[in-house]
Amino acid sequence: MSQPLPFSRRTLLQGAGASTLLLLLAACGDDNASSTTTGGGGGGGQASAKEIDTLTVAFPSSLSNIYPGQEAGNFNYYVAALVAEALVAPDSTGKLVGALAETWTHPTPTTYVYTLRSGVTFSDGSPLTADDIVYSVGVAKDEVMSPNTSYYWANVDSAEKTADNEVTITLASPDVAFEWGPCAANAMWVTAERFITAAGGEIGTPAGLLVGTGPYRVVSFEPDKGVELERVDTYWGGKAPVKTVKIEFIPEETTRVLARQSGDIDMAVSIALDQEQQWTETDATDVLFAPDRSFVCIDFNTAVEPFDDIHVRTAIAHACDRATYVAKLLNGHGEVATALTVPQQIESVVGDQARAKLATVFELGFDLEAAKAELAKSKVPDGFSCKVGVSSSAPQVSQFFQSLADTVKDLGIMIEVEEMPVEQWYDTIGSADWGLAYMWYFNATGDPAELISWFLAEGNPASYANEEVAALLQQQREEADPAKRVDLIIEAQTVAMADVPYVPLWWGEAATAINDKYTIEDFGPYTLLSPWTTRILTNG
Amino acid sequence: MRGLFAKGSVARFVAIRLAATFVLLLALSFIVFGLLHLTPGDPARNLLGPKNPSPEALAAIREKYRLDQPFLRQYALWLGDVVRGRLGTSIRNNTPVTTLLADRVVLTFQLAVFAFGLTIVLGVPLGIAAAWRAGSAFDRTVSVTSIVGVGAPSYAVGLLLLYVFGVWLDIFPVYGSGDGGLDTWWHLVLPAITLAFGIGALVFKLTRTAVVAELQQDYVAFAYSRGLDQRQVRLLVLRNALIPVATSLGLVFGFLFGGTILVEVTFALGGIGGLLASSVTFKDIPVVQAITLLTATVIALTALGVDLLYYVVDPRVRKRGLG
Repeated sequence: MSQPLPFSRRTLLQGAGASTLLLLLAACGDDNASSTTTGGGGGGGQASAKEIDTLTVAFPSSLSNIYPGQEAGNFNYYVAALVAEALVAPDSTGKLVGALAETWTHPTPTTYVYTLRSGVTFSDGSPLTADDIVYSVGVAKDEVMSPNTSYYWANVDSAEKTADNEVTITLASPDVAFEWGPCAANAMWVTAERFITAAGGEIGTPAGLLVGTGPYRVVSFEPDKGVELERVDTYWGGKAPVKTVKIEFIPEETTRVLARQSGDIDMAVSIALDQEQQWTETDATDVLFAPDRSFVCIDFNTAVEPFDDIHVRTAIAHACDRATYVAKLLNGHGEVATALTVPQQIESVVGDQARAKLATVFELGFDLEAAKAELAKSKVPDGFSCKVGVSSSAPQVSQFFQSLADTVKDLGIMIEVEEMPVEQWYDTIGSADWGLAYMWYFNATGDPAELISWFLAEGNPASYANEEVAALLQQQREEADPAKRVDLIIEAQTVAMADVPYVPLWWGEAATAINDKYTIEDFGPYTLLSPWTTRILTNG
Repeated sequence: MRGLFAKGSVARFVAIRLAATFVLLLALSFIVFGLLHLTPGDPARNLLGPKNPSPEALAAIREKYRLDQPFLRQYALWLGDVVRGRLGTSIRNNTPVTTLLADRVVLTFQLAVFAFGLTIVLGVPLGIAAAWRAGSAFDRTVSVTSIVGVGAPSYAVGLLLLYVFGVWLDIFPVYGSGDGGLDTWWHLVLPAITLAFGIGALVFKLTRTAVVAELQQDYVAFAYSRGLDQRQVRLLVLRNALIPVATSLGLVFGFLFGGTILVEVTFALGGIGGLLASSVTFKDIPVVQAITLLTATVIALTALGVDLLYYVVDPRVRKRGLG
């Protein structure tokens, strides 16, 4: 998933000292500081699923389209998760469970057979059929209708109705990661042909909307304004506690805080970490933190001088004080990354061992003496100059590179940090003009091979090639045993990271602010990718 | 007919100006198209975000939006569509540009008109009153306040108003544009005041300067010496001072219409300002073209309106003829 920040507060209001001043002023009126919670729900006391008439939620950026196949930002997923479903869905640990498919089997390495749940209806009351599933696979695979999901389906040969309540999907070659394809947290939203035809072929637009089998139907969608959803009382999973969900787009973070202070909104997703204090000091508000499966790393283009020299890459890796970045730049809301895979992608297989297993993938720690020694061994022992392009929507990354630049200038390495709109940053990824780059990646799935299937495979942005790694990647695609597959994935990364094509920096967390009248049951990394308003409980 | 378009006639002046505006828009459309083409970034890549882009998906998007065509051909195709009344489809939203702009243009127009009204109501009378009493405590107070108004960033003013009137006094809504009709106007009160605060201060200063300058003219002393009372003299002065003020007001409206972005972001209003900013960075060419041309048209027509106003208020222009 991309990070949707069309125009961030930073871009527009750089150096906005006035807003800080105002918030200090605003904070003076609040006597009751609210609580900060990591994972789980806030509030405390007994919480129950009482009827809530309207829940108003503020997103920090607008949506152009509510169908993630067309625009695949995190927030598009959060809306689609309430409206449409797919064959499978992640549970709170990231394990796939049945959604529209009650069960599924994997009889051959290239065949997946899904048995559909009975009694499922669309929001207009019409029944879901196997034909709708087949049609929806076609939509997700279509490069024009779904440019953001079509590549997940490139390896799919066919999707066929094999019984009234059964659909069989056949792959061209074995790939166990495919299991995450027919999932509304990733690359499929089941709809019916008649809905799209009635909207003149549009999907996800204000005219086309999105019609699915989820717990809500879309009443209205106005890009740059908001989305209104209404509960579907006939939802197969049971009636949700919230009757109407109003999603408002409020791009200015200070305005969002004020909107919460005035009581106009109940909830704000992805609050800005640099305004965490203002949120926690807002009256009657809880702030919930949970890992968001994001990963940030330095990305060296190993085909570009001087980053083609492993000693240069190692020197920079040793100059990164990752623990301090997490503590200072993220206010501790994140953890030092030791691998490309995030722990939440293997927890459903290895449980508590996730971090221990990933700890040995990348072990180069902060050591300026070692950095100096590595640079001395390189072909540029006296240092060099380079630039790095950073999206203006990624303030923490910009601060990280400025801090790194400050650290390495004594070694003779001059790094110039160039801030740019997020769209221009896309162009730096894997570009020969940017030997030093970074990636801020939001994993869409709970599949542990999601990022390495790009970052270690052919066409990766580091221009990195290693036959042993390629062989391990191929092996994991075909390994049906989840535990063995995780080991192969970790081994592939361990081999690759010895060559330092990337420097893992941190695994991120996202924060959600919510009216302390309410709480979110089992709030975790996968919550907002499933029908999350069904988990809103009322305290007391 | 010949008489209607005779040299110096209003009709001829308007016809020439409209033709010039058309040529200007054509040139502008080419320049904007070319500049966007030259800026770094690829709309197809932007649509896919920071992920591994499949060549097939990129090719399909480029073909759909004709991005695979050479530059001049892309421009010719776009122009051909515009001539047929089609503004194209937004790459980012996959929605016809006309649909995308419809509500937003109305909202931005409402905001600009509201702020324009406040600007006139505040800036002009205060400017005149301060000029009458130039050097008085009143004049000094309003002049100093206007310096703050001109200097204060609109987002800071907006946030301050939001805190005081939205949260503390809880009178006005904090964000959004409401449900239409009166509710929308109600939602636009604080944004319009925010916009009018800075620009109204500017209009105040312009008005004050114009009136003070007129008051120093010889004809004023002459009028008094001929026994005209103060009311009559002031009317005379106002009429003459109106010309530079009218010119500035024309420019102010164009500025307000094209300069709403910060206020739109602060108050979470879905107008064309925010859309233009995000469309430029995304390289959503059809949307940028439509908004630029629309804004340019509004500015050009306002300038034409101001020139026609000259004709009405200035007998010298009437006598000499326009153009």
